[in-house]
Amino acid sequence: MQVILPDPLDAIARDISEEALARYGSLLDRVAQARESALARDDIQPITDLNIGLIQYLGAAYYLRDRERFDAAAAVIIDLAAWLAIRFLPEPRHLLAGLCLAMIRSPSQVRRTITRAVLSTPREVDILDESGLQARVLASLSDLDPRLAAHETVRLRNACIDRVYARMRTRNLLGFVHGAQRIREGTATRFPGWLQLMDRTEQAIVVRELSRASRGDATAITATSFIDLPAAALAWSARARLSRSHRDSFPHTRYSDVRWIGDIAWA
Amino acid sequence: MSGGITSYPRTGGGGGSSLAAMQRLLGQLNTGSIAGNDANAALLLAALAAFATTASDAQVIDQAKVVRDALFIARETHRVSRGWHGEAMEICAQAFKSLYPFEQTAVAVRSQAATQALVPGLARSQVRALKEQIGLCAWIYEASALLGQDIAATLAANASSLGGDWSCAIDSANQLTYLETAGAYNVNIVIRIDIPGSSGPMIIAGEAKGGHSAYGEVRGPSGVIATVLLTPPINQRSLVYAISRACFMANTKLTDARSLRRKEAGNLILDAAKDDRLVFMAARGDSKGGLTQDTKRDYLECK
Repeated sequence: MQVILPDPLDAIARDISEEALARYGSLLDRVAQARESALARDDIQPITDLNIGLIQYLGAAYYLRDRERFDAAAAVIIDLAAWLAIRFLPEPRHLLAGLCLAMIRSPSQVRRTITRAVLSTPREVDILDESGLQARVLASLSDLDPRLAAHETVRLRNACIDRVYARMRTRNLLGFVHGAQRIREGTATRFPGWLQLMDRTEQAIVVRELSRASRGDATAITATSFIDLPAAALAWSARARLSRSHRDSFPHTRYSDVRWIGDIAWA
Repeated sequence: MSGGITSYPRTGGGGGSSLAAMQRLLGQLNTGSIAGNDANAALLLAALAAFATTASDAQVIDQAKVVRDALFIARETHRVSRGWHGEAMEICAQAFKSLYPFEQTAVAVRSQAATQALVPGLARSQVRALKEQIGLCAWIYEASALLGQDIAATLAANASSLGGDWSCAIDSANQLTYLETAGAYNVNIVIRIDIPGSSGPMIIAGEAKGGHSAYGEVRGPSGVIATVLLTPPINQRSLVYAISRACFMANTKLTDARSLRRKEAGNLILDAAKDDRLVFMAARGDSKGGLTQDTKRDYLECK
């Protein structure tokens, strides 16, 4: 069952998405410039600046189920991540979106390029850097390295238990940790239920922020929140480990619909 | 090809040669690759700095504005890799400050009102409000210096109150040119500067601090932190801070006059951030004896 936003909130979410599509569409044509700038400066900042807009564009296209724009944005984000991985070996958090999308959509070569870069960072990721930790967990699962996956998952879980992150974020991250552990242990058969749980945690954040907007309270929600890429990437990992009958039971979820994101012909 | 390396005076003395070098570099700025343009921009700024050591303050301000505009347009059309115009603005600020001390600018009146009201025995909240005014005056002076124009006498001169400590100024097309805000989830001040020849205005957003109040940190909402890019907390001394506040400002759904201007300002910042037209500046000021105040620019970042 797909979770549905109640009506006034859905309208606000559509507004936010349409604004993001209008505002950030031009970024798709600026990729070559951003790469040249990054090389000229020897710094990834031009790329991360671009990514801030691109990911909002991606989330907006996803919420509106705009296939063409979603594919265009996803392709650019994956390309940039693979390029960053080769040229700059940045901190894992900068590769998270590209890694998630590459796990779901890309040929194994691209996915491995990004995975390698995430796993070969010289230092441990700081526990405050939740995106970096998520990237490490996903990369180690993708790399079939259960020991490292266990290590990073436990670090993320401990940080959640220590209440390092915001409350709603913690809820979402704990769901992520739970799913990652199931996959690592190979007990992924109950994944559809987990996927819906993840969707509900994302829904809780989105509903809260949109309700604040509808009341006129302060919120900084952006279209980025309308897609939960790490959850989708986990779901994809689970799917790869399951038999077809289990796979096909994967639900269409609102925030992490891996079947739509992957746009795979489900034979 | 070019006229040769000897086509400009190579006397080594006076302001002439650096001025000629600037002219030449301005012409070459947008012609090469991004790395080549970066190199030209650096040379241009070096020439401007050399010019500033010999020329009069008024000349330096004029020339710095020319260079700033050229570098801004180069940035905004993505022909250089970073916001070089900030350095031109810093050179401009130095000259402006020596030519027009704080007391001679239009903001001094407002500053005096605040310093005068700041007498012993006030409640804490009143002191705080006055110190905020003083901080804002400092910001306005520092921004005037960076821009080489007294914004309190130009942009902010026709500002009208939006209630509370909010005020805004608009241009003839009813577009926002100046907004002062109060309260949480806002940048303190936003100004719009139209640069001739550019596709969009330069937006300067700022954080003003009064007295000794420290720069804080915000834990942006997870939407801004964008699953990926930023690790919270976001420091108030960074350009990202302006973007994170702009998300709050642009999202407002209220429709009173103040909220509409707030939303407009938020959208200005977000658009400027996307197109590399955003400047962030943090400044502070504190009262010192004799109804005067000091000002200090703490941070400047051009996207």
